[in-house]
Amino acid sequence: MSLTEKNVPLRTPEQFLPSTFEDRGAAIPFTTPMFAYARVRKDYRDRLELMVTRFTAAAGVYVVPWPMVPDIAALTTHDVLLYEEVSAKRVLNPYDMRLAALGVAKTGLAGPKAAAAATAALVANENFKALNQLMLILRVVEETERSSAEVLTREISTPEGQARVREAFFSIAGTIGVKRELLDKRISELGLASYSVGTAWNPTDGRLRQSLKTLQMLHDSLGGWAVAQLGDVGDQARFCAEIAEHTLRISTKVLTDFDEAMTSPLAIIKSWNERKAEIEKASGRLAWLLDGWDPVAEIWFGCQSMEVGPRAAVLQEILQMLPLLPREELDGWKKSFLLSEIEGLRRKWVRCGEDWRTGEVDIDIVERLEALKEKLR
Amino acid sequence: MKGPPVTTDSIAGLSEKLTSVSETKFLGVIQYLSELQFPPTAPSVLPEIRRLMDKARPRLRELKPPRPLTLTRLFCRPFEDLLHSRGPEIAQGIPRSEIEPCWQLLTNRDAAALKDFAAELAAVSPIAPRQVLEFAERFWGHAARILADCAAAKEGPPRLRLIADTLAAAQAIEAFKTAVPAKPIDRLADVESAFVKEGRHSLVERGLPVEGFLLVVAARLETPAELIDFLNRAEIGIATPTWRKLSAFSIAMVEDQARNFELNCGTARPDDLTRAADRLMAALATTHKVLDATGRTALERSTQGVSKMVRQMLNSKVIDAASAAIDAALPNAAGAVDVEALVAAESHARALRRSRRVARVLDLDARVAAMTDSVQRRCEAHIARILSKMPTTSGEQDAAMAGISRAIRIVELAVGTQEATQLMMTVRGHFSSPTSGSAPEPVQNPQTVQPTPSPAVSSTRRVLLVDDESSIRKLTREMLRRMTFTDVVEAESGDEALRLFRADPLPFDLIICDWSMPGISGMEVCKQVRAAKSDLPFLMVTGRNDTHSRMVAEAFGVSAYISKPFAYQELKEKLLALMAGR
Repeated sequence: MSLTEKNVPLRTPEQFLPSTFEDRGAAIPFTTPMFAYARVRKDYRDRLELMVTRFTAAAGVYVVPWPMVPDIAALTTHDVLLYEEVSAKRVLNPYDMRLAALGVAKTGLAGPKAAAAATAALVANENFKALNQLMLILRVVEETERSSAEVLTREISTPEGQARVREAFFSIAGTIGVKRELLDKRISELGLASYSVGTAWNPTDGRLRQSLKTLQMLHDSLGGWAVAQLGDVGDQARFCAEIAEHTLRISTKVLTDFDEAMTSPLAIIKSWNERKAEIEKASGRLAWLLDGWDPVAEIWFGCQSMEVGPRAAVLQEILQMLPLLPREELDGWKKSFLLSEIEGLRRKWVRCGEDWRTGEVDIDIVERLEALKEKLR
Repeated sequence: MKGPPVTTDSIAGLSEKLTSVSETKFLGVIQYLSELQFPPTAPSVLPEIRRLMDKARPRLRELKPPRPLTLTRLFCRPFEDLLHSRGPEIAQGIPRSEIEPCWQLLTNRDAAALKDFAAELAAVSPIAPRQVLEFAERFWGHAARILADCAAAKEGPPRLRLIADTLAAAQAIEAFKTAVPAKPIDRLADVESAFVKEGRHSLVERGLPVEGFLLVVAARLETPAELIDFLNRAEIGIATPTWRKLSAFSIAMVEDQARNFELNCGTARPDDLTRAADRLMAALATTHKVLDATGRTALERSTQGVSKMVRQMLNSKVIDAASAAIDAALPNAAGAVDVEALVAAESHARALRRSRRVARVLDLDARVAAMTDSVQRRCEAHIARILSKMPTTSGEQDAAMAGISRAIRIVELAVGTQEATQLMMTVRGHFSSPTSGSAPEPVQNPQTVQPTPSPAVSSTRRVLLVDDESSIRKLTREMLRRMTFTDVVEAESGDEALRLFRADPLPFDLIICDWSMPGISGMEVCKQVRAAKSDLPFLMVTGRNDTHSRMVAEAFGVSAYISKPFAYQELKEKLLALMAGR
C-alpha cells in the first residue's frame, strides 16, 4: 500500500503533543528569525536538541540536533553566545534559561535597551531573592515569638532592623533544636527554592506570581477580543485563550498548593530534608507551566492600539509560539477545537523568517525579537 | 424628549472641553457630537461639528474607545478602505464629504425603512459578529439598490455609483476581509490571490459589479499594482473602465506614498526612512510594470521627482550621516554608555544594510558599499584600540568588553551576521593567542573543536594554589590530594603568589587562583604569569558565573574557569581537560 493513499492512517496532531514538560522543552529566546520561539530539550540519549516551529515556513515542529544548529542558519552574535552558554551549562529548565538569556542580553549584543533591561532584571532578581529570604526569616521568628516579630516587622525596612531580624532568627536555633549553621543553610535553600514564586505574604509578588497575573489578563484580553471577530482570526484568538485558560487552571492549583505548603516555613525548616523536594517541585512546575507565556503577553499587549488587520498578523505569530500543554496535563480538558484544524490554520499563514524577495535574514524580525528583550523581566 | 435647538454657538462651547475634561466626559461629548452628525439634525452646525471632531481626533486616537455600532458606521464599512479626507480634486477613492449626501439620499428615498433598520440594529448585540453580519448584509443590499437607482437617475455626489457598487459587493468584501484581515497586505501571495478569485467569482455569478470589490482589495494592498499584475497573470478579464480605475488608483497610491515619504524625511529615523524608500521604489517599479503606455506616461509625469528625492535622502540621511553617528556611539575612551547615541548609531547601521537593494536601483550601490566598509573598519579600529590598552581593574575591563560588544553589534547591523561573528571569533583569537599584542588570529568555531583524549591526572605535577580564604585552600587542597596531586604550594594573596612564582617559575605545572582577593587580583596574577610563561595552565576560581566575566577571563589568557562552589568531580574534569597532553 502506498503511503500517499488516503486510507493510510496518519498520526493526528494530538499525537505530536509533548508528553511531559521536559518533552516540551524550555523556551530559548534566540533572535535569529529561523529559531525564534524555539525550545531546547534532551533527546532519548541525553543529548540536547532544538525544537523549531515555522521552520522554512512549513507546518509542524522540527527537531534539530543541537550541534547542527549553527550549521542550519547563521546565528546572530547574541545567539552565538547564548548557544555557547546553553551548551556549556546544559541549560534545560526555564529558571536557568532565563538567567542564561539575561546574562547574554547584558553584553549588549541584542542592543543597548535589551542590555539595560537585562541588567535591571538581574538586579531585581537579586533584590527579590534577598527580600524573600528576609520575609521567610521574619515569618519563622513570628511563628516562634509573635510579640518580638511585631516589633521587628516595623523596623524591617532599615538595615539595622534587618540585622535584628537575622539575630532573632538565629537565636531560635536552640528553641527548635536545629544547629545555627544548619538553620542558616536550610533557610538559604528554602529561599532559593521559593523566591521565583515568592511567598503569599510577601509585599511584592514574585516573578512567577506576576507572570500568572499577566497570563490571566492575556486570557481575558484574547477571549474578549475573540468574541467580536469572525472567521479564522476569531478561532485563533479563542484557541489561544483556551490554552491560556487551561494553563491558568493548572497553574492556579499549583500556586495554591505551593502557598499551602509555605504557610509554615518553620515546619518546613524543621523537616527540610523531607520537604525540600516538595517545595522545589511546586516552584519548578509553575516555572514550566508559565514558560514561554511572558513573550506572548508582551506581543499581544503591544498591539492593543492596532486595528484588526495588524492584530491578526500578531496572532499568527503567537500561534507559532504558543506553549502547548503536554499531553499528560491535558486530561479532562474539554477541547472545543481540533488541533488538526489549528495546524491547518498555522500552515496557511505561517511566515518565514526570511525576506521573501531576497531570501536574506529578515532584519525586521530580528529587530522585533530584540525589542521583546527590552520588555521582559 | 426634545431639548433646545442645537446651534453653532451652543456647540462651540464644547471646543475647550475636548482637551480639558476627564476621559469619560470627553467620550460623552464625542458620542453627543456623533449623534448630532448622523442623521444630521441641524445641517447648519455640521461644519462646526466637523471642526470639533478634527480637534478631538488626536485624543480619540490615544484613547481608542470601543466605537458604538451605528447604522451610519455600518453603512460605511464596505467602502471604508476607499475613504479619504482630501478634497474632491483627488480623483481616486471616495471623499468623506460624499458620505453625508449619500445618507441624505437614503433618508429621502425611504426614511421609514431606515427607521426600521435603526430599530432592528438597536437589538443586535455588537459583540455577536455573526448576527451583526447577517443584519448588515440585508441593510447593505437595501442601501445598494436605492443608491444604484439614484445613480441611474444622475442624482447625488460624483462617487455615488462607486459607493452603490461597493455596497452591492459588500458580502464578498466582508468575506475577503475576514479571510485576509491583514492591512496593508504586504504581498498578494497564493492564499490571498485565491480569496480575490473567489470573491470576484461569487460576484460575477450573481451578476453583481466587481469594481468596488477590486478597488477595496487594491486599497488594502501595500502595492495596489500587484492586483493588476495578478489579474493579468491569472488571465482574469475585467472591463476596461475598471482596469483604468485600478491603474489610476495604483498611480494615486504611489503618489500618496511619495508624498508621505517626503513629509517624513525630516523627522523619521534613518532605518525607517530606508524601509519606506525601499517600499516606495518597489511600488513604483511594480506599478510601472503593469501599466499600459498611457498609464506609464501618467505615472512618470506624476512621479518624476520621486527617484531624485529618494536618492537625495539616501545620500544625506543614510550614507553621509552614518560615520558621524557611529563615531559618536563608539568614543575613543571606554566611558559611560550614551544609550541615545548608541540607538541612533544602530539606526544608521540598519539603514545602511537595508538600503542595499534600493541603492542598486538608484546607482548608489558603490557609495553604500564604501560606507559599509568604512563602518566595518571604524568598528575594527575601535576594537583594536580597546585591545591595545586592556585595563586591569575589573570595572574597567567590563567597560572595555562592553565597548567591544557594541562595535561587534554595529558590524552585525551594518554589514551582516556572519561578518560580526567572524569579528567576535577574531577577538577571541586575540585573547587566546600567547602574545596578545600581535595580529588577531581567527579561532575555531566551538562546534568544530574535537575533544582531546583525557589523560589521567598525574601525581608528579606541582601546583600553586592561591586563595585568601584558608578554608577554601584547605578544601581544594584536600580535593587535589584525592586526585593524587601531593605537591601543592599555597599562597594567601596575589603578592605572595607572584613572589613564589618569580622565585622559581619553572617548577609549577599548574596555578589555581581565586579571582577576587584583597590587593593584587587573580586577573593581575594571571597577567604577570602570562608575561613570563604563556603556556602554563591557569585555572581561575570565582563566584562570578556569567558570560561577561568569562569573556574577561579569556581576555587575560586564563586557561580555564571554574565557578564557586564547585564539586570534586567538577574540579577533576576541569583539571583533566586542562592537563590533557601535557
